[in-house]
Amino acid sequence: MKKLLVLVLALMMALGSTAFAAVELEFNYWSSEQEDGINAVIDAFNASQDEIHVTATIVPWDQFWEKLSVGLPAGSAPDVFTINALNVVDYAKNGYLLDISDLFESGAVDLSKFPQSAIDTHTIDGKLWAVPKDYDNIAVFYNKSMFDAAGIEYPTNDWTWDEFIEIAKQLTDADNNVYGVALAPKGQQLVYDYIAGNGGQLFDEEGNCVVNSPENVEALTKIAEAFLSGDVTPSVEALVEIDANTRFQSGMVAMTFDGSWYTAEYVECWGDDLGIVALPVMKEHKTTSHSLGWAASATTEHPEEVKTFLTYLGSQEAGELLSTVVIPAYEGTDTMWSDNYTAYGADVFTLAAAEDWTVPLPAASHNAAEVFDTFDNYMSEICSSGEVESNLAALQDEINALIAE
Amino acid sequence: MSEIKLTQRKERARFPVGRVILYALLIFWAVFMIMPFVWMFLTSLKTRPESMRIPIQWIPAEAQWQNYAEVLNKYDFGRYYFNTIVVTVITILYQIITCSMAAYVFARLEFPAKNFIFMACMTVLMVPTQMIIIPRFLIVMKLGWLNTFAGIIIPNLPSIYGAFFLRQNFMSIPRELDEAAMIDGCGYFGIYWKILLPLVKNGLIAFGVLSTLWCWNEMLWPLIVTSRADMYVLSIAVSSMQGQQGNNLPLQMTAGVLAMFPMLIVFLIGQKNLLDGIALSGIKA
Amino acid sequence: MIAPVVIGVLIFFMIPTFWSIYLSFTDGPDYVTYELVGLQNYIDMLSPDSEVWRELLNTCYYAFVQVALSLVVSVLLANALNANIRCRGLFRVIYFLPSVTMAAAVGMVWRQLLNSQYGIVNQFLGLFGIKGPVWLTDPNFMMLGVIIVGVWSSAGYNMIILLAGLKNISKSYYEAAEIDGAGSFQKFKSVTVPLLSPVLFFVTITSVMNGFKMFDLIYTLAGSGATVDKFMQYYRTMVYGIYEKGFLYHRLGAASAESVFLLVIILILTLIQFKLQDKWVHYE
Repeated sequence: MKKLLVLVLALMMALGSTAFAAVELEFNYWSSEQEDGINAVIDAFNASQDEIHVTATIVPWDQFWEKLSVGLPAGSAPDVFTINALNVVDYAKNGYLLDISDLFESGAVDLSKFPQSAIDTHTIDGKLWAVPKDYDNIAVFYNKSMFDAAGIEYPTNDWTWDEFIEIAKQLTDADNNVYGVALAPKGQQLVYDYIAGNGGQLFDEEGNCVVNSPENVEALTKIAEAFLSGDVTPSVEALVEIDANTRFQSGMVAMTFDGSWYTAEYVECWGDDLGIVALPVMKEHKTTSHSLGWAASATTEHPEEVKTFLTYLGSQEAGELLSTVVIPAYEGTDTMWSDNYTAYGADVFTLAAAEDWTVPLPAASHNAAEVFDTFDNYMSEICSSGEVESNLAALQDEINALIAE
Repeated sequence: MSEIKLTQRKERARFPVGRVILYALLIFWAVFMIMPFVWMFLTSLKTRPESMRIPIQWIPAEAQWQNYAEVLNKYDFGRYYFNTIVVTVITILYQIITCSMAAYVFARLEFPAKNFIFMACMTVLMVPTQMIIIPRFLIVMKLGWLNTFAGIIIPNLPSIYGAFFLRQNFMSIPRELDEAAMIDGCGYFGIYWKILLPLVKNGLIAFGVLSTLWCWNEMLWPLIVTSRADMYVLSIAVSSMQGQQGNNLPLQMTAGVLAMFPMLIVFLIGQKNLLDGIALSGIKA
Repeated sequence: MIAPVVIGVLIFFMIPTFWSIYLSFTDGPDYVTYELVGLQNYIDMLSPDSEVWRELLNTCYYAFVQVALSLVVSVLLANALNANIRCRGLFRVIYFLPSVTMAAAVGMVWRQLLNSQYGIVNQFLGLFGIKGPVWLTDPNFMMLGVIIVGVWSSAGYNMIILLAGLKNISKSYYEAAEIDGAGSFQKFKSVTVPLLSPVLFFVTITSVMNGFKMFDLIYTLAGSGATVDKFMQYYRTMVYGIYEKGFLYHRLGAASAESVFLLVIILILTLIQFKLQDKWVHYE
C-alpha cells in the first residue's frame, strides 16, 4: 500500500511539473482586473527568449499577504511579485527583498523614465527595492444619466467641495435609497486627499504622525458633515452592507470617489453614461497617488534570471503592453492608457500627475499595514459619530505608538 | 384502569392538532435549511443587475447558463476539480486503512501506555489549527513539499478523529468473535483484516464520506502550501472568486454551486451509512 | 498498526503545538528572526486594556449561545423525527445538508441573506410585520447573525446523533411513565432527558469545543466587509485574533501566546464538563 501511495504521489508530482527545460520563475500578483495586460507582458517576455519561463498567478488580496508573510521569511515565496507602499517598508527592512540596485546603477532600468513619486514610494533607507510598475490616483466617477434625469450640469475639474455637496444633495432621494454620492470613509479614497488638499499632513519629515492639526480637523469636520447630513452619502454602516463600488455599479448612487484602477470596470458597466472628473477642491487640487512595484524575493534560487525579467518589466515595451489595463509608470506610456478612455474623461488621472496635484500615499515607517488599518478604523468612527478632535488625538497617539514599537 | 383509558382518549382527541404543529415545525425548519441553497442556485443563473434588485427577484428572467461556462472555462475549474479529486481520493483511502488499524488497536489490544497515547492523541483535537499552521508549514518546507500534492495531502493524513470514530465501531462488536478466531489460529492482523473489518463496513463508509466532505472543503492549509494556481483546490478557487469578483454575485454563486455539487452527490449516495455511522459515534462515547 | 496515525500525529500535530508554545515566549518580525522575551507576550495579552478580553467575550458569547440554541433545536427536531411521521428519511437528509457545505460558500451566501435591504431573512421577518435589524453592522445583532448561521450549519449534525440516542431508549420506560399518568412534557422531562444525557453530553462537549475554535464563519461572513475595527470588534473571536496577529500583522509571538491561552481555556472547559458529568449524566 505504501509503495502504491508513493508511486501515485510521484506520478502526480511528475504531472505537475512542466515540460520546459528553461528556468522556471513564479510571479504572483493580486490585481485580477489587470489580468489581460499582465498576461500580455508575461507572454511577450516568455516569447522573447527561451532561457526563462515565467508563470503568473493571481492571488486574491487577503490571501496574497497571508502567503507572503508565511513564505518570505522561510524562503519559499514566489520569485517575483507585485508590492505596494504599505508592505515594501517592512519587507525591505526585514531583508525579504532582493537587492536590485545594480539594475538601476548600470542603467539596465532607466530611472529617469519614471515619475519621482513612484520611485520614492519604493525607496527605503536610500535604496530602491522595486521596479516601478504603475501609478494611480483618485477622481470622481459619475453617472451622466442620473445627472441628466435631475437636470444638473456635469461637473468640471475646477468644482469646489461646497458645490459638490450641493449637487450631491440635489441628486439624493433618501426615501428610495438613492444618494448623490457614495463616499467611502477610507484614507486613500477620501481622507488622505483632503488632508493634503486642505494643507495638512499625516506624517512630518521625521516620520512622526501629526494628524491632529487644525487643518485636518477642519477637513475632517467637512467630511463628517457630509456623512451626518443624511442627504449626501449613505451612512458608514450602510456602506459596510453594500459598498460604494456596488452602489455605483447598480445605480444606487450618482457619484463615487475611486481610483483609476476601476476605470475599465466602470466603463464596462455604464458605457457612454460614465463621466470622470477631478476631485472637488477644498483648498487646493490634491489627489493621493500610489504606485505598485515589481519586487523579487531575496531568497530566489535564480537571482540573475529574476533580474533579466525585472529589466524587461522596466522597459518601454512592458509599459506599452500594460497600458491596456492600468496607468504604466514608464514615461509616455501613461497617456497610452488614458487615450483609451478620453471619451469618459479619464485623462484627468494623467492630468493630475502632469499638473502635480498628486501626493504619495502616506506610508508609516514601521508596521505600515497596521497603521493603515488603524487610520481607516478611526475614519469610520469619525464619519459615523462626528467627533473629530478627540478621535484625531487618539489616532495620533495610537499611530505613533505603532511606529515606535 | 379507567384512568389510563381516559388519558389515552385525551391523547387521541388532540392528536391531529399536535400532528399539524409537528409537521409545520418540521417543514418550517426544512425550508430554513434549504433556502440558502435555493437562493444560491437561483442567483447563479441571474444577471448581475437581477442579483441586486430590491425587493429580491427570485426567478431570473432568463436562466444565464453561460455563467457556468464562464466559470468552468475562464477560471480553470477543470484543473481545480482534478486537484481536489486527487487530494481527496488519496486522503480517504489512506485514512480508512490507517485509522481503522489504529482504531482496532485502541479498541482491542492491551499494551503499556495505551491509555496515555490515546489521551495524548485526543487532546490534539482541542488544538486550534491556526496555532500549529506555521510550524507545520516549516516542517513541510524542510521536507521540500511546497507546491506538491505531497505537501497538501500528507500533513492532513493522520486523523485522530477517524481513529476515535472507528474505535466506537469496533467496540460495538462482541469480543467473543475475536476469541473464537484466536482459537482458530488467527493472528491480530488476521482478526482485524478478515473478521472485524467486514463487520464495520458501514462505519468505514460513514467515515469515508465524512472525511471526503472535510477534505474537499478544507481551505487554509492548501492555501498556505501552494503558491501556483495550477496546484489550487476548489475551496481556494471559490474564495478567490469572492476576492476577484467582489460584486459579481452570480459568478460567485456559480463557483459555489460548482464546488459543492460533487459533495451533494457523495452525500446523497452515502447518506444512509453516514447518518447511521455518525449516530453510532455519539452513542458509544 | 497504530504507527501511521501516531507518528503522523506526532510530526504534524504534537511538534507544531510545542513549537508554537515555544514561539509564544519570543518576539520578532517573523518566525525565523526572533528573540526570547520571556513572559512579555503573556503580560501584554493579560493586561486589563488588552483586546483579548473582548475577543474572549465574543468567543464565549458565540460558543455558549450558539451551542445552547443548537442543542435546543436539535433535541426538539430529534424528538419530532422520532415520532411516527412520514418522510422521516427525507427530513433527515435535508437537515443534514448544511453540514455538507463548504464554509467558504456558507459565509458568502449568508452575507447576502442577512443584508438588511435585499436579504431574505429580513424580507421573511417583514411578512410578520417585524422590521428586521441591520445584521451586519448593528453591534447588538452582529454576533447574533453569526450565531444564526452557526445554528443553521450545526443543528442537523447534532440532531442525527441525538436521534440515534432516542432510538436507543426502550419503549418500556415511556409506557411505565404513562401508567404513572405522565403527560408529554412530563415524559420528556423525566424519561427522555435523563436517558439521553450521555449523548447530550457528547454533543455538548464537541459543540463547545468547535464553538471555541470557530474561524471560517467569521472569516467569510465578516472578513470581506466590516474589516475596520469599529465593526470587527463585535465579531473578532480568539481564533480570528490569532489569525490576524499571526498572518496579517506579523506578530507571531503574540499570536502564539493567544493560542496557548485559548488551548488552556478549552482544556479547562473540558475538565469542568467531565466533572459536571457526574452530576447530570445518567448511564443506564
